[in-house]
Amino acid sequence: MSTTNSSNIEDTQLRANIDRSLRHPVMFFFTSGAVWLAISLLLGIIASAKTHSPEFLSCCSCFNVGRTMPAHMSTLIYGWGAQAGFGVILWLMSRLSRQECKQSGLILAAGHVWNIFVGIGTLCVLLGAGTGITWMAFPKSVMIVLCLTYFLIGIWALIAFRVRRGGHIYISQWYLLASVLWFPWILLSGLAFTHFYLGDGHPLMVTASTAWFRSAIMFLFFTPVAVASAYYITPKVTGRPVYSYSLAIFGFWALAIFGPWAGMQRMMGASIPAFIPYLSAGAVILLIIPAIALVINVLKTVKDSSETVANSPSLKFTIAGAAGMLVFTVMSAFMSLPDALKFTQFSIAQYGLELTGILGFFSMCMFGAIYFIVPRITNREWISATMITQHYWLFIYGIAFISVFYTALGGFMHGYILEMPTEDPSAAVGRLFPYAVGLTTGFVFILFAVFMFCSHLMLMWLRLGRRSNHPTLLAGHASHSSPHGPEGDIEKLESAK
Amino acid sequence: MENNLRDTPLRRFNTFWWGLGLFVAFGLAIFIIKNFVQTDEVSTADTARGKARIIKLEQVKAEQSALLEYKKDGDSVQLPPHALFPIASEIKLLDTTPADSGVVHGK
Repeated sequence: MSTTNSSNIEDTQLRANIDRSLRHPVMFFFTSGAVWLAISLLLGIIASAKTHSPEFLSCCSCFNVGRTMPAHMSTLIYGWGAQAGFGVILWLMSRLSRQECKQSGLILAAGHVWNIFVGIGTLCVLLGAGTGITWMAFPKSVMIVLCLTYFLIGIWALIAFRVRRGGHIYISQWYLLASVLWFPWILLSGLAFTHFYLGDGHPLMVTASTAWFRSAIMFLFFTPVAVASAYYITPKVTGRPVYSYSLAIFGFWALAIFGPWAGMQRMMGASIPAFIPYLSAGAVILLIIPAIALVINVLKTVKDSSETVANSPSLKFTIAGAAGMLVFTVMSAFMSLPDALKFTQFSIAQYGLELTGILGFFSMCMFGAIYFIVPRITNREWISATMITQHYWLFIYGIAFISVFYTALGGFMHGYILEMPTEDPSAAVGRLFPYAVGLTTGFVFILFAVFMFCSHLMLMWLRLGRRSNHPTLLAGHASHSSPHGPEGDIEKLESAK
Repeated sequence: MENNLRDTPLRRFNTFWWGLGLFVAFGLAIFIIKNFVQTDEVSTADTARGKARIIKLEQVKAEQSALLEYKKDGDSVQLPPHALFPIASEIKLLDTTPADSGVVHGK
């Protein structure tokens, strides 16, 4: 009995040491990522507003759609997505490998370099010095620095895995390791081939490389990080093991096998070998498999834990993220069908689909992970359950509106207009107007949600969170006086010691 | 708690260099594919056409930027496009829709 107790104490001590070692780099990635998300949404609102109200911010050429749109996507991917991913990768890998981080200072420095260059890249795009390449709008030199900086961040996750304690490799570690190794491959390949072909005067191959790059970043970096987080959070919060480990591993291999083939369906009808777009379309359809595997595992694991789901912010966001993955993959598959591509290939549906994937799936899983990780590394609990609830619902409303109204309905309407050359131009503009307004409305909802999240996170980083042993629960109050239990119980425990 | 026999400085050092090697290997693979695999007849012809496209693009860019520069011809003044935004906003030029221009749709 005493051996078990001593082992538990040592285990708790180890976890506390791991959290302490990663406090600064992980909090830096999360907070700066959240700020970039807010900036990205502001730029998205400007770009979207200008499509239905061209006079909006027409005073300055840097607010053109041609500049704000690539700046919005670049900050969303490299500012928010990549940094939230880095924070989750580093913390999860260290916790699962049971290894403290010994180079947190170096990671923090690399994080600063990453942010500085994302800032420089965004300014370059807004001032008209962007490359104009989708998802790679930053100047080439900025992208090269980001590649090199990634090495200084990702390598420590790889080292933590190699020197891990214990023999068992968790499913989350499979996904995290894959994302750590795939990300430089995608970044280097996408960057090199796109710029090679750009220099060689091959606009078609530039488009093809970019189409693959966008898909690969989504399926081979954002997806594994989000899935790893879901496979960690769900059993941790419910206190039950993952429903089916073999199904989770099957999902992993399905993603690893089909993921790299996706992307070229966007080149349907282009002068490339005809089998390539069909092969990619097939791969995208088969990517529903890992999504189904995740959804089954998450739902079966949380089965009979409805109270825990209602209470836990991490679990709520994670379940929403898993559902978002299913919606995203089903929409991707549907839009890859040759008959549907006729309407969606050149329409706003593609942009809406990317937003659904990054915001509705990846970001939801990242929020779930952040709500779980931050109290552990700051030794504070979230201040307000109301702010978390508002963040959750505003985000859900915003992204649901963008997915259903803008992507599905607006995308097909846009495709229909493009297919009707005899359509009166004013009527065509009129038909798209409500969808453009709808996108702006969706973004405004999400921006409010992100503002709640960002300010809450900043307060936590300043260590102004609650000093309590009781986690911040969303429902089912444990005490009549406070939804979280008594305040300051940590101080009481410490003084009792 | 049991000692972790895997965690040695040598293993950490090795992993760092293996990671760096993998990073470099990705770059090398791209270089080899681009320069030594894509050397068939079609790729070579395509590259030659690409060069011609680049020359044409540079010409067009130069001509276009020359056309868009500030010019004064008698009473009329030509402004570069970026200088037009504040003026266009002032005279409510941007409040119109494409249909208001009266130009027949190009499709």
